[in-house]
Amino acid sequence: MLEFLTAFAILIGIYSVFTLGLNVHWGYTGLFNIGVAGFFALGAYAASLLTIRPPSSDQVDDYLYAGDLANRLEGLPVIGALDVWFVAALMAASLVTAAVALVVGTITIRLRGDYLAIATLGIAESVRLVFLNERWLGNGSKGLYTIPRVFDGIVPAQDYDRVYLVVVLVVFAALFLGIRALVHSPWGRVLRAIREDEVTAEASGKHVFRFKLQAFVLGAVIMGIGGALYAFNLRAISPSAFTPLLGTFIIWAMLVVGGSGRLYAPIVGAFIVWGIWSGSQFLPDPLSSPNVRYFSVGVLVVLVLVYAPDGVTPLLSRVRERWTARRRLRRAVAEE
Amino acid sequence: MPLLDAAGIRAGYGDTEIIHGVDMRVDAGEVVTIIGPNGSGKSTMMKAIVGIVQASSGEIWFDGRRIDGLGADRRIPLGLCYVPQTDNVFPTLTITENLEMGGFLRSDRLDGRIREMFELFPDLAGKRNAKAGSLSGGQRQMMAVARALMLEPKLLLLDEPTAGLSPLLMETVFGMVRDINATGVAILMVEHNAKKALAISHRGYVLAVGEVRMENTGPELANDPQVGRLYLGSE
Amino acid sequence: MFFTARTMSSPAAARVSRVVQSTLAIVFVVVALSHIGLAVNGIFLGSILAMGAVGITLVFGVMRFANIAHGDMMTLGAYVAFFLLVSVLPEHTGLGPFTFGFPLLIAMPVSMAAVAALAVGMDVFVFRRLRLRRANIVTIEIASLGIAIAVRGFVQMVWGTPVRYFPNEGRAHFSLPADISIAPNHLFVSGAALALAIALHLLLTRTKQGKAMRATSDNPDLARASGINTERVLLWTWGIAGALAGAAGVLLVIFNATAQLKPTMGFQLLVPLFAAVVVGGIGNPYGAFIGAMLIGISMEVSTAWALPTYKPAIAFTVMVIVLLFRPRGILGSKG
Ligand SMILES: Nc1ncnc2c1ncn2[C@@H]1O[C@H](COP(=O)(O)OP(=O)(O)O)[C@@H](O)[C@H]1O
Ligand SMILES: [Mg+2]
Repeated sequence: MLEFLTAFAILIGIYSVFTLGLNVHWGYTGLFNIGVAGFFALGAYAASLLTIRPPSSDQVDDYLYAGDLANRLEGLPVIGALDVWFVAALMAASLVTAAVALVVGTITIRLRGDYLAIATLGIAESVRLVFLNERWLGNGSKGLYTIPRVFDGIVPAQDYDRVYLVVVLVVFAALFLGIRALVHSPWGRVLRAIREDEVTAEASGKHVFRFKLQAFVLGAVIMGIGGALYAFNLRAISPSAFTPLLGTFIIWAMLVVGGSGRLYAPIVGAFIVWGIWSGSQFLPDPLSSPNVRYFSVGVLVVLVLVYAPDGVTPLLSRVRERWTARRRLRRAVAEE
Repeated sequence: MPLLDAAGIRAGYGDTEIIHGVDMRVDAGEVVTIIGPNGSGKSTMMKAIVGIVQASSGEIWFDGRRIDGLGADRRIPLGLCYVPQTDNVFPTLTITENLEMGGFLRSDRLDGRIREMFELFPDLAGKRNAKAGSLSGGQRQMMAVARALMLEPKLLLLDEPTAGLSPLLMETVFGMVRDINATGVAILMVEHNAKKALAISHRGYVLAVGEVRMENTGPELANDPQVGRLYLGSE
Repeated sequence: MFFTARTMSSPAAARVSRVVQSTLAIVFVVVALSHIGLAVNGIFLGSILAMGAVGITLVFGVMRFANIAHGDMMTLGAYVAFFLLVSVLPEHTGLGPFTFGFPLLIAMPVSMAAVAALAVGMDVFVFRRLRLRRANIVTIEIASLGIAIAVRGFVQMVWGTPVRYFPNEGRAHFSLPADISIAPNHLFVSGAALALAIALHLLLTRTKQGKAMRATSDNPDLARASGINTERVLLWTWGIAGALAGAAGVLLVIFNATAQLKPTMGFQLLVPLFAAVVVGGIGNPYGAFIGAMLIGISMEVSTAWALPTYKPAIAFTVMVIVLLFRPRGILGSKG
């Protein structure tokens, strides 16, 4: 049970990172990206390719390039709390997604919402097809699976999950605090102004395109980092993880359920949706089927959009307000 | 009893109120013109009367019935038809199809009325199978008015029917307004050419910042020096 | 609106753009003709894409949003027909030269009706509520994504994830000169698609309701100001789009040599479908038809060099190329 909960918490942390990135795109800037899976995949493959071992000599693998960074940097001291190569892998994931997002964004950001959606979906599918078909690069449907462990040799293998949970939480916390600071900065205020009314924002002299592009790249980089975190979790990735359903839809579901544009939405949404998604396996038999999950999360998203358009987070804060109000009341009564 | 009687109308878009309590009236057979600076809410007032924008308060009575709670598609059949300021034709539909859409609510055959429209606007007759999007500015305006006349309305609302037209075409349009009025149709129009419009109007309103500033007979408003100042001042 | 900053304005640039466009068109025709067998297949694939793309574009015309659930509506249509063929209708295959039997001719209209009902229900229970709340377009779009996943989940719950097959028997292809070989099923596919396209054309141009659909798509405010009940027009549009999606789903199955069904079959076509819609000029049903042919032919001809799994990426690339020169698509209006 503890193992399950640890694995569960790790995935919530990782999905919170993706949702954080999507919140930057849609929640704060109004960019309709339905190609999250593309940046997810780029981050995961970039981090993996940099750190996997070279292909084995018996030719079961088709990939040609492997960074093998963990071995090459062996012996370097652990800085701070993290391995050097791990930090390098996260940076590689960021750089690759930033570069792709810059190009894609420059071409597509001027598009109206639904065109941007089509463009991002098309790009994400193309990215997935490249990693699936170009076996020299991504090893085809087998994927990459010699991804190293963080703190290997320092932490026993059976404790990996618990340690990795801490790593994920640290990365998430750093990103979360960074986003919180940004949202309250002048830059964040401009983004919200753009989201509310692009024409007025443009009229008041803001370079709307540049702000949107910056937000697009930033959100994509966060998704790329999420992809890297994902890769080092199970330490094996394959194109089947980056389908529109698993790589994009579920993240949208998290954002919608949490309440897009709200700071805590990623955590709340990831918790609820991933809870339904992976918790349903404990239900009695016909309900434990993965197909029931697709159906119920799809229906959940529609219901939230129709009946609770601001997501669940505002409901939670209302509950909390009522709580504190009641406690204050009780204290006041006690003091009487 | 007035044909159209709007009282205390407030309306706007989303949370922004544009019209702040306007009273307006059109009697049967009248031509009434609304003038006022750009952005003062003239078009919004028209939309509130037709039901494209819903008034947030106030009452609208038309031909003895209260209509402010009805949607546009329920108001039109009562006999008030509207020609918007812009986008007032269906560009990918042919002229004939545009007229058919104008007469959408008629249950009888439309051929007779369409023929009458082509007699009234001979320019359109020659292009009956052309797409409305291909028409010139003047023809397009004719098309828009003809579309609105298909239902034989009691009140025709025209939003800036001469906008963007050459002086010659403007005269034609004003002539057309007079001809239509002569058949007994009351007309409420918004016009930029205040002098000319007021000259053919029974009465007029000056609207500014969402409120009626003045109301008088057409000729008297046209000669009012204050109108010139108010109206031209913010041009 | 589209690529505003790049719209070519100077006459010289416009001339260059025209020359490049003509060159691209000629290259396309030459390449297609030099792989005529693949190009012919592309026309058949294009017929199916057209059935889906026309529905997406019609809905877009009146609602201004691209329905992401369209692919999964196709899937549902295919599975409804599958259910009828294996559980309800008599067993029969090999009608005339085709691999399927006469029951398909009954199953297909029933599928169309079922998917049309789903589409109308989607509008009544989801989209209308969002519309009345004046929800943002993208919110509506995400709702359609949610519906897409729910429909797929439903299909998988009921029929499972493994591949299924329509009852069928192997049939010889027709062979024509120039090494063209045509599966009889493919002729049925394009015949049915053509018949539906003609029926739709007549509906849009000859009936009052059809003209009201076009009018609403042109200018919804003016349509309302003409007394057209645009909410009812929307229901009609959803119904028609749903029926076409149901037909497309069934045709997609018999287009496949082994008459295979997969729960992902519709969703996988989404990128080509959107590409067809955008290439043709979004909102224009005739454009969607042409766009679907262009995309279908490009996808099939590309298999002369590229792996077939790259087909969606090819569709996407063709879309990007067309948009670079015609930001509003081939039949998109200038305004
Ligand atoms: N569809 C709309 N949505 C939001 N605001 C609008 C819309 N149409 C007009 N407005 C605003 O309402 C105000 C009044 O516009 P309008 O009624 O068109 O003025 P007029 O016709 O007198 O020039 C303007 O400030 C305009 O920006
Ligand atoms: Mg106006």
